[in-house]
Parts: sequence; structure tokens; C-alpha cells
Amino acid sequence: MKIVHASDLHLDSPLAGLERYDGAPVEAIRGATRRSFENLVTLCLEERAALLLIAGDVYDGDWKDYSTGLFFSATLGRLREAGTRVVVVRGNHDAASQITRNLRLPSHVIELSKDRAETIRFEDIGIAVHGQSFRDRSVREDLAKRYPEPQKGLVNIGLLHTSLTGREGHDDYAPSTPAVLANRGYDYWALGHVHRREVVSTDPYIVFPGNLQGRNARETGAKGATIVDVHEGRIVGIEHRPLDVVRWVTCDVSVSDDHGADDVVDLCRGAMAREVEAADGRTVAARLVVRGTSRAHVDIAAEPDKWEREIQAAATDIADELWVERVDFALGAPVDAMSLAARDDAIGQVAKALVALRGVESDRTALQSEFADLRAKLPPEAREGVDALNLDDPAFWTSALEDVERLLLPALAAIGTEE
Amino acid sequence: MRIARLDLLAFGSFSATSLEFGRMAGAIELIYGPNEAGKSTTLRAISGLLFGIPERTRDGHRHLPAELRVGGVLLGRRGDRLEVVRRKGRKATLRDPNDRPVDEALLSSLLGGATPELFESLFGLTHDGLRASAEALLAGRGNVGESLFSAGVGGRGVHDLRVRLAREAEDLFVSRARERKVNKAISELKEARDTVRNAATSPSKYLEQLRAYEDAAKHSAALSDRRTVLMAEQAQLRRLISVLPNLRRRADLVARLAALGNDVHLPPDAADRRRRAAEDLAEAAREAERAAERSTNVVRELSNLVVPEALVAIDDAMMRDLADRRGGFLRAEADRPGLEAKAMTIEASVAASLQRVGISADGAALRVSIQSGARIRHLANRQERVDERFGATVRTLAEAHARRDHLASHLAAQAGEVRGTVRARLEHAVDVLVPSSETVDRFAERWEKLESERARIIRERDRGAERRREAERRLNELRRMSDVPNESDLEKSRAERDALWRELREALASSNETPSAISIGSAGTYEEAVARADEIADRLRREADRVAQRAGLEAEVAAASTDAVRLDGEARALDESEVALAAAWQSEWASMGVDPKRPPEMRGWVRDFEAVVTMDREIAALEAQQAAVKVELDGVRKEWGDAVASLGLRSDSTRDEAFAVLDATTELCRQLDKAEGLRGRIDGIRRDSSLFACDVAALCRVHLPEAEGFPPAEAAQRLLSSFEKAQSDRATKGRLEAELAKLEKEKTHWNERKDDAAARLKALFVAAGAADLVALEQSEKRAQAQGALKEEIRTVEEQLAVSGDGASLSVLEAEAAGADLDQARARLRDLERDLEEVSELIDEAKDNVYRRKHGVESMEQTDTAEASAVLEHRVAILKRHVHRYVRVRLAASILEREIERYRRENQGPILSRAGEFFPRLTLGRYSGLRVGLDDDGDAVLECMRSDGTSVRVEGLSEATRDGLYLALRLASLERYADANEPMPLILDDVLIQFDDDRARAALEVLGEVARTTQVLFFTHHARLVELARAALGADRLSEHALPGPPAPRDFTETTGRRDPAIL
Repeated sequence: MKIVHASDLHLDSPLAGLERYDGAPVEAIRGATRRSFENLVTLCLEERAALLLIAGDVYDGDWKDYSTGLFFSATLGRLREAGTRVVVVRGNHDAASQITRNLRLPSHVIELSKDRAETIRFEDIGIAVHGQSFRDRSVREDLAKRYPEPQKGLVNIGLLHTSLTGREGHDDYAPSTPAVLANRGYDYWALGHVHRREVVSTDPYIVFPGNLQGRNARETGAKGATIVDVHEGRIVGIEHRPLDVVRWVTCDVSVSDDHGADDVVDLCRGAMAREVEAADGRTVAARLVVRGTSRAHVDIAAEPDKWEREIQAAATDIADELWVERVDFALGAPVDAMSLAARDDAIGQVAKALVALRGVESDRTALQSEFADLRAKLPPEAREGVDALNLDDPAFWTSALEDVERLLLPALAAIGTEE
Repeated sequence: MRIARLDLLAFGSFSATSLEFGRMAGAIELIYGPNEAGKSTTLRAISGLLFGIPERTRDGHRHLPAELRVGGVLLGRRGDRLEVVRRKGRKATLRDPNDRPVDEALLSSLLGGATPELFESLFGLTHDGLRASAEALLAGRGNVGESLFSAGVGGRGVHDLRVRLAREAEDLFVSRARERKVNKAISELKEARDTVRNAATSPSKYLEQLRAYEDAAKHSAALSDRRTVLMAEQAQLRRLISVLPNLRRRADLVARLAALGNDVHLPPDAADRRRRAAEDLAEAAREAERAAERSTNVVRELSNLVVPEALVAIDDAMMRDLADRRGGFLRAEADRPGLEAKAMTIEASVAASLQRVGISADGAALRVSIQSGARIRHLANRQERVDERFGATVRTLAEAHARRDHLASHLAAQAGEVRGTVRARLEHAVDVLVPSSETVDRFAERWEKLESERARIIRERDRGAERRREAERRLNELRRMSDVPNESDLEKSRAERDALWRELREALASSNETPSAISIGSAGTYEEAVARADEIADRLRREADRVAQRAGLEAEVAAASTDAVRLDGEARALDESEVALAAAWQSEWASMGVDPKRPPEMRGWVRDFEAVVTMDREIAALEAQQAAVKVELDGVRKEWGDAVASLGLRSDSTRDEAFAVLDATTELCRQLDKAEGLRGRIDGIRRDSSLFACDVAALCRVHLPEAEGFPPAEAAQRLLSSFEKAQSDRATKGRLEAELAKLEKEKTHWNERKDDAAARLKALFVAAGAADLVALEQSEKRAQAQGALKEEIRTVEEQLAVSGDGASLSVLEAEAAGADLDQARARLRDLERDLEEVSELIDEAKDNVYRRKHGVESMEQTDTAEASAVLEHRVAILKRHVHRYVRVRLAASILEREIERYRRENQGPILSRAGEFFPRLTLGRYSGLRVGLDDDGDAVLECMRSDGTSVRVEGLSEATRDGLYLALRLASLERYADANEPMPLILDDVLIQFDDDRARAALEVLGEVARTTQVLFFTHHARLVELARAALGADRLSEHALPGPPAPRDFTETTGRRDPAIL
């Protein structure tokens, strides 16, 4: 008997950071979260799953479109005929969502109470599911502690939305520890909230299946659900199945002194082709990070957009379903700011000034003040998410000044040699 | 850092060439190399030494790339010394003189961390670079900060860089603009955000919409129910209104039917039937009577008709035959006299002919002779053919004899010497034994062999004789030349000598006398003999050739003699063979008695003889053939004789005679046959006539006695007429009898019809219970009225069934009981009005339901996802542009700030030092430099003239601007050298465009700079060398000449890419 465990659907949450360009596979990414959810339902049907467990965050908290809820409900409807029961707990996002409050779910879908932990017994398949939904977006107490005692003679599963002991990039909600969970005496802890797949423990099983579909450049790699294999009242194994339709990848490209800008494009092309190959026919959203020192630097630093377009064009050549999310040119020229700063001349003076601006502690007040207008105009969307334009964050400036060093010093060093 | 020595160990076209710099402290190092001398190579070598030899170099043409080496000695300011060698490669390319790796950091610290590009910018200057930098001064309008900074970084690109950064930043963002990239991205992002908000379906709105839809659907359903009720009532009312009149009418009809009393059970067509039966009765009676009348008439006619039955019974064919025979009888009787006359005429003519020919034979004999006619003709032909064949045989035989005789006489003539027997034998050549052609050929062949053998012997004998004569001739020649000794001469002489010696020794042995006493003479002779023998031996040796020749020739003569003897023997044997062959040949011919000539001659003879033999055989065959033909001929002649005798002719009658008699006899026989034919016909006629008369008489006797006694033809005619009449009467009788039978049948038929009609009438009376026709007619009328009423009731009931929606009559009557038609109609009108209203309401409600449903559906499928994807796209664009803007703007600000700071810190010292150089470089046209302010309040350079006026950069001539930049640059370098490790200043033909005076001035200034900074001055131009010597003097100028033009370069390695050469 199979149980499918998924979490963090974030239905209709847009894929972030994908700037559209000529040749970008706009159609291929459309409705990616919905399609991955449909893949999940198809998986349940194919595996004849007896139970589907969804450990929270079906929706984005600030998502206001009710049609998403209707889609969720209608798609789960496909499982009624097959006899697959569905148990859902609300996560922090769902608790914040207007959709959950109003949505009528089909009869074979059970949403666990937000007021107290409860137990649902499925005698016919020998399963008991314990769990509790988030009452609101910020639950700070350990919900697991008040989960019911295990039911004798049944396979006991805890369904919980939690950050556990804390995970990078995830807010601390319903914190708990593996020990607390293990002490509860359940056979399987079906967790949600953390987007990266993680098998925290195998005895008992404590599993984050990760989200179904990566939504930005930080959520890389295969995404999907976990199949739990139950045999004669025991869990005999788990298996992870990728269900994502768009795969996010980071291609690290190393360049060396002798590479020109065209060589950089070729290296990127090779790296992307390998990722496309590995993605098994899925659409790939690739971030390229080009590192190293190279004579290509001066060309690229002067016109990074142009070279990014070259790389996008190369991507279009490789495959229709390949999207270059961004190209980070973390390139340096063979120029060493520190040794230049030692010089007592014009260029040495510039190098000294740049070196002085290094580090978050340095005084950049004067420079930053020049961007007051910009700061005032930036909309909130730009100040969050991947590559957030957080002008109050010293790290933002550190990164920018690193790039300025790369931009300015080689240009000055080469100034007398320009044609 | 100074370069104390540059070692071009293996680089470009150089091998093991060193340039020693710094021999004189503070002197300019002037490196002069005419074109192609390697000036550029040397510049690249310096770069290679300091920064490495590039991967792709153009200097690997003489030496293999891996072998390229450039070395040098470098001196630091603090006296530190570094001697290194640079080789080409990827790793550890810097080596010490013992080829051990040297840490690049040692060199790097001497270079102050400069990159090749930086080194080139700061410490290299070409003429082009000078020009471009001077133009950049102009582009920056002499902005002090930028000018100083540019001179400080050695580049003309500072201005461009500033402009580029500022422009890009401005393209990206300006606070209150719209069409900048960042500004635009922000406003597009906001638009997208609004779109997302508007596209989203809020749960409350959706549920509201859904409830509204459900309410509308419910309302619509309720209206539909109401309409159903109304429609049912409407249907009932309509039915009532439509059935009420018919129900009433039916009741009326039923009452009228009852009033007509009991039902009359007459068929509906009773009147018709009555009328038809009465008519049938009348007609049948009429027709029966008419048939009886006609029957009576026929009976009467029959009784008047008598048919002679016997006559009629005669066979019809017989009577037709009788008619034919009567015709024939009449025609034959008419022909008979003519025929008799014709027969008699022929018979008379034949008798006359026979008499005339003299043949006494009667007809029968004549016919026999005609039978043999065919045989006679056949024999005549055969005899003719055999005669011809016999004649031909005789002719052929005669020809054969003639040919044979001719050949035989020819043979005899040929064998003139042949004895007489030959001729006789020829008469019977067949039996004679003559040698066959093969035998003759064999003998001929043997003779030929013999002859050729003889010819060979003669040829060999001739050749042997010739050789011998030649050998003898040469031998004689030899002998004539000198008497050549031979071995036998030597033998002979030695024998003489030995004999003399033996004599002498014996003499000595046998006597005790002193030798002298013995014989002085003997000794003398012996000596002579010895001398002679020696002489011969010597000659033999000396003339060995001639001796050998002679011996050879002698041997040849001897051999020739031997051959001659052998050949004579062979010739004799050949002669004997020939005699034997001739004898054998003779014996072959012995039996013929012919003395044969040689086989070739006899070959023709034998052929002819064989021909005679063949011919004799042919003749014999021909003779036998002739005899056979003769026998056949005799046989034929005998038969002919016998055959013509039958014609009464002689046996030797000719063919023509026989044919004439045959023809005449044949004609007579034909005439006789004709006459006999005529006689036969006449007899036939006579026989037929009497038979006809007999037959007619017999017929008459039986059937027509009154015709007896008439001639046969008349009687026959009467018989035929009577027969025809009897036949006609019999036919008439038959027809009448048939008619009578038919009439009888008609009579019966009509009587039956009459009875039937009467019965039908009777039945109608009974049914109607009527006693007569009048009563019957009344009953018929009542039945008709009852039928009509019932029909009408049925029609009404049918209508009721239709308009009553299938309800039974009793149900309808129950519904209608007490109903009022007018009230019902009024109610129906109200109902229809209500229905119309309800229908309109339903349409509205359905429309509403549809709209609500559509609303719900459109809320279920929104474009929010797409709109939010667009929003994310706009966010990404904005982030990209801001990302770039922040960097470009920061770079621009920092650069500006640092330029300004540099100006502040360096303006004083550099401008004052440059102000010293500038007047010298302009040959005193300008007196110095100062800082002014332009219209924007920025500090700009001003060049002061001696008269106190000043000019800005824009107002300077090109040459002066070059001088200005050079002054700033040199001043910056000096300033740099104050604080930093000084670097060699490398100038590559920087003064080529300067006129002599300015060049000299510049060289003097450079000479001054050289006191603190090493100056390497490269030039192609001899003129500049002279100027330098004049300007600087020997103690401030260190000259280095590069070797003359090297061997032509091999360009194969010179690829297009530019080396980062120093200059």
C-alpha cells in the first residue's frame, strides 16, 4: 500500500526572477506549479495510493485569487473515484490565505482542525493520521508536543507544518526537535514548510519532501513528493519522485586568463547543455555564475547586458526549453587592487579609495546618499525575493563595490593602451 | 627600477645580443635601429622580460618558441639587483642565470605591482599616444583634474571613461525622468501589479457570485413549476370548450334515431339490387325466345342438304393425282406422233453411214470396238515414250565410245616407246595392273630425297675444297714469310744435339785421354748442335703465334682431306641407292610392259589410264541399259498390233489410222443411242394412256355411272367436278350443325338467368317483409334514414375522441356535466394572459442564470497566474537595471571623487614643474601654466604667454597641445618617481613629428628627466641621433646601435593577434 506525502505546493506562485527575452520559453513555464500539482495527483493514481498527505502551504499567503483554491479542489476531485483519501494541514501561508477560509473541499479531503490536534482513523487501511492546522501565520509553540497518543494496531503518521530546529531561508514556525517527534511513538512524521527535501531521520521516519516546484533561483534541483510504502502494518521504505516541470539550476563556469569573451559564451553554452541533458526533458531555468580572472573581463564589464544576451542566444540554440535566469559575471581582470593601492600615483589613489570602501564596516554614507532618490522610488517587490534590492543592507553595497573594483581598475590600468 | 642590461639571448632575430644601459649615470639611453633592425622586437623583449612572453608570439621565427629567452639585470632604487632570464612557457618562466626558478614576487615588487597594460600606460609613450592624449586634453577642455589625472595614469582614455560611465548611469536612472530604464521599469512594474490585483478573484466575491447564481437558478425553477400548473389547466379548458358542442349534437342525433323505430335490416344498396334484378329478369326472357326462333330456321336448312358420302370419302390426294394425270395424258397424246417421226429419221441415217463405211457390224459389235478405243490411245502414247528413250540411249552410248577412243589413242601416242602390247592391253584396260598414284608419289618422293642428298654432298664437297684451298694459300704465305720452325724441327735438332752429346760422353768415358785430346772438333760440333737446338727453341718461343697459326692451318688442310674422302664415299652410296630405286620402279611397270619414265612424268599417264578404265565401266553400263529399253519396245509394239486388230485394222496400222476409225465408230454409236431413247419414250406414252383410261373407267363405274362411256379425259373432268361439289356441301352441313348446337346452349343460359333474377327479387321481399315491390320500396327508404343518423353519430364521436385528448365518452360527459361554455372561454383568456407573463419571467430568469453562471466560471479561470508571471518579469528587469545602475553610478562617483582629490593633492607641484617644461618645449612662446575657472566654475588649465595674456587648451595649436601634454606627463613622472620606485621611461620615436628646434628642446628636457628616471629613447631616425648628440653632448647621451637588418623574416608565426607589446 502506498501513501504519498507532499508539501509546499504554493499553487500559482509565480516563478521569480525570470526576465523575458527573445527566445525565452515563456509558454513552457506557464502554470508550472499547477502542472506539478497535477503530476502529484497523477502519481497518486498511478501508484493507486490509499492516502495523500499534504503538510501545509498549499497557497501563497498573500495570494488572493480564489480560482487557485477552486483549481486545488477540482484537481483533488480526480482522486475521489480512485478512493484515495486526502488529509491536509494548513501551513503558515494557508493560515494567512483568504482562500482557505472560504473554500469548500470535496468529501474525501479532510482538513485537520486548527484548534487542537486531532486523529483521523482509517480502519480499512490500518492508518491513523494525527495533526493540527496552523491557526494563524505565526505559530511559535511546539505543536507536536500536544499531538495525540499513537493508536494501537494502526500505522501512526504525524502530519505537521514546522521549521523543526530551524532551516536557513525559512521562518521559525511551530519549532520542534527530532527528539520530541521520535518520542511521540509514531511511525512516520510527514513534515512540511522546508522547501529542500530532507530525510531527518529514518527511525522513525521524519521527512521533509520539499516543495513540488522550485520557484526561484535558490530552489534548485529536483522537486517532488515522497512515496511511503506500507506493508503489513509497517513502513518498509520511502522513495522520492520528481514532479517539477521547471528545474532551477546554477551553472558555475570557471574562466581563466586566456579566455576571451567569446570563449566565456562557449563555456556557458557547454555548462547549460549539460544541465539540459540532466533535466530529463524538463524546462530548465539556469543561473550562470561566471568566475575567475580573464582578459574577457574588460569587454564584459563594459557591456554585461550584451554578453548576457549572447549567452541567452546560445541557450536558445541549445534547447527550446532553456531559460537563462541570470548571468552573474563575478569576473576579475588580472589586476590586484591591493598592490595597486600601494602605489603613490593617480591609479594607486583610486585603488586605495576602493580598498577603503571594502567591508561592511567601511564608511559609505556619502556614496549611499547619492541613491536616496532611487531608494524612495523602489517598489516593495524589488526590495524582496531573490537578488533583493535592499539598499539598507551593507552586503548589497559590498557586492556592488566589488563589482565597481572590477569595473574601474582594469579600465584605468588599460587606459593608455586603448586603441 | 632601472634596466642595467638587456640580454636578447634568443629572441626574434637576435641571438646572444646584450644592451648595456646605465654606463653613464643620468644619461639618455638612445637606441638607434634603422627600419627592420629590430627596434620593435627589442621593445617586445623588454615586455617579455618583465611580464612574460605571450603564448602566441611573433618572435619565435628564428628560434623555436620553446627556446625563446630574454634576460637582463634590473636595479632597484635601494640598490637591490636582480639578474633574471625569462623563457617562454606557462609555469616558472622566470629563472636565475643558473636556470633556477625565481619568485615572480621579487620582480613584481621592483615593478610596483604594475600590469603590462599599466606599465605600458604609465611608462611607455609613442608619438601616436602623445597625439591622442593631447587630443583628450582638448576633449576634456583642459579640466585640471582630468588633465592631471590623465597625465598621471598615462592615458587619453580617462575622459572617455568618465563620459561613458556618466552617460550609462544617466540612461539608467534620473530621478524625475520617465524614459530612463529604471524609471520605466518601475512604472511598468506598478502597472503589472495593478493587473494582478484586478485579475484576482476574491473568495467573498466569488461566493457572492455563486450564491447569486444558485438563487437565480432556484427562482427560475419555481417559475417553471408555476407555468406547468397553468398549462395543465389551460389544456383542460381547451378540451372542454372543444368537446361541449359535439356532446350536445350527439345527444340530439341519438334521440332522432330512436324516433325512427326498429331497425330495418336491409342492405344499404337494396334499391339498386331490386332494380337490377327486375331488369335482368326481363332481358333473360327476351333472349331465350330469340334463340328458339333461330334454331328452328337452321333445322329447316339442314333437312334440305344431301351429301354423296362415297364420293366425299375418296382421298383428296387421289383426286389431285387424277387431275395431274389427266393433264399429262393430254400432253403425251399430243407429243407421240412427232417422236415417232424423229426416231425413224435417225435409224435411216445410221444404216446409210454403215453402208458407206463398209462396216458390216451391227450395233453391238460397234460398241465393243469403242471400248478398246481407250486402250489403243494409251498404247499409242506409251509406244511413243519408249521410242524416245531408246533413241536417247543409243545417242549416249555413241558419245561415250567416242570419248574413250580419243583418250585411249592419246595414251598410246604418249607411250611412244611402249611396246605394242600396250595398245592391246588398253582394249581391256580394266584388267591391267598399273601402279597406283600413291605408288608413283612414293617413288617420286624417294627420288627427291635422293636428289637433295646428292645436292647436299656436292655443296659440302665444294665448301670443303674451298676451305682447303684457302688454308693452303695461307699456309704458303706463312712459309713464304720465313720458314717457321715447328715442334718437329725442334725435336729433330734436339735429337741431333743429344746424339752428339752421347757421342761425346761415350768418348770421354771410354778413354783416359784428356778431353782436349779427344776431339776439339766433336766438342765444336756439339756446341753448334746445342746452339742450333737452342736457336730453334728460341724461335719456337719467339714465333709461337706463327707456329700455332701454322699448326692450325695444317690441321685444317688435313681435316679438309678427310672430309673429301668421306663425301666421296657418301656419293658412291647414293649412286647405288639410285640404281636400286630405278630397278624397283621398272619392276612396278613390268606387268604393263611399259618402260616408265621418272615418276613425275608417269604421274599424268597413270591419271589418264585410270580415266580410260573408268570410262570402260560406264560404257558397259550404258549397253546394258539400251538392251533393256529394246525389250520394252518390242513388247509395246506387239500389244498395239493386237489392239488395232479389234478395229478391223492391220496390226501395223499407224496411230493416226487407228484414231480415225475410232472417231467414226464413236459418232455412229451416239446416233444409235439417240434413236433407241426416242423409241423408249413412245412406248411409255402408250402404256400410260391405257392405264389412265382404265383407272378413269373404274372410278366412273363406282361413283359416276352417268359419265361412263365418255373419253377418258372428259370422264375424268366430270368426276373431278362432282367431287368438288360434294366436298362443298359437306362443309355447309357441318357449319349448320355447329350453329344449331350453339343456339341450344344460348337458350339454356338465358333460362338460367331468368331463374336467378327471380330468386334475387324474392329474397329482397323476404328481407323487407314486403309482399310486393311498392312495400319493398318504402322499407328501403326507412333503412336509409337510419343509416345516415348512425354515420353522423359516429363522426361526432370520432371528433370527440380527438378533441377530448383520448378521454372516454363517459369521462368527457362527466367533465362537461354542468359546464358553461362562455364561462370556460373567459377563464381560458385569463389563463393565457397569466402564461404569457410567466414565460417572460422565465426567459429573464434563465438569462440571469446564464449570466451568473458565466460570471462564476470566469472567476474560476483567471489570468492572475500569467499576470503575476509578468509582474515577476518586470521585477527581474527592474532588479537588473538597478543592479547595473548602482555599479555604474558608484564607479562614476568614485572616479570623480578621486580625480578631484588627485588634483587637490598634485596640482601645485605638477603644474609648477610642468610650467617649467612647457616654455622650453614651446621654444619660449609660452611662459607658464596656471589654473583658471570656466563658465561652470570648474578649474581649467590656462597657458600664459610672455605678454601676460593666456590661452585655454581649445586655443592651442596641435604642436603646442602635444608639448603641453608632454610637459604634464613628464612632470607627473617626476612626481611619481619622488614617491615610488621609478620606472624606466620608454619612448618610441615620440619626436618624429617635431621640427628640429622643438625636438632639440624636447631632448634637452628629457635629458633633465633622465637624471631621476631612466629614459630609453628608441628611434629609427638618424637625424634624431644627430639632434640628440648636439642637444645633449657625449656625457649625457649613451648610444646603442641595433645590428643592421637581419635575415628576412619567416612570417609563418606572425598571426593576427596583437601582442601586448610595451609600446
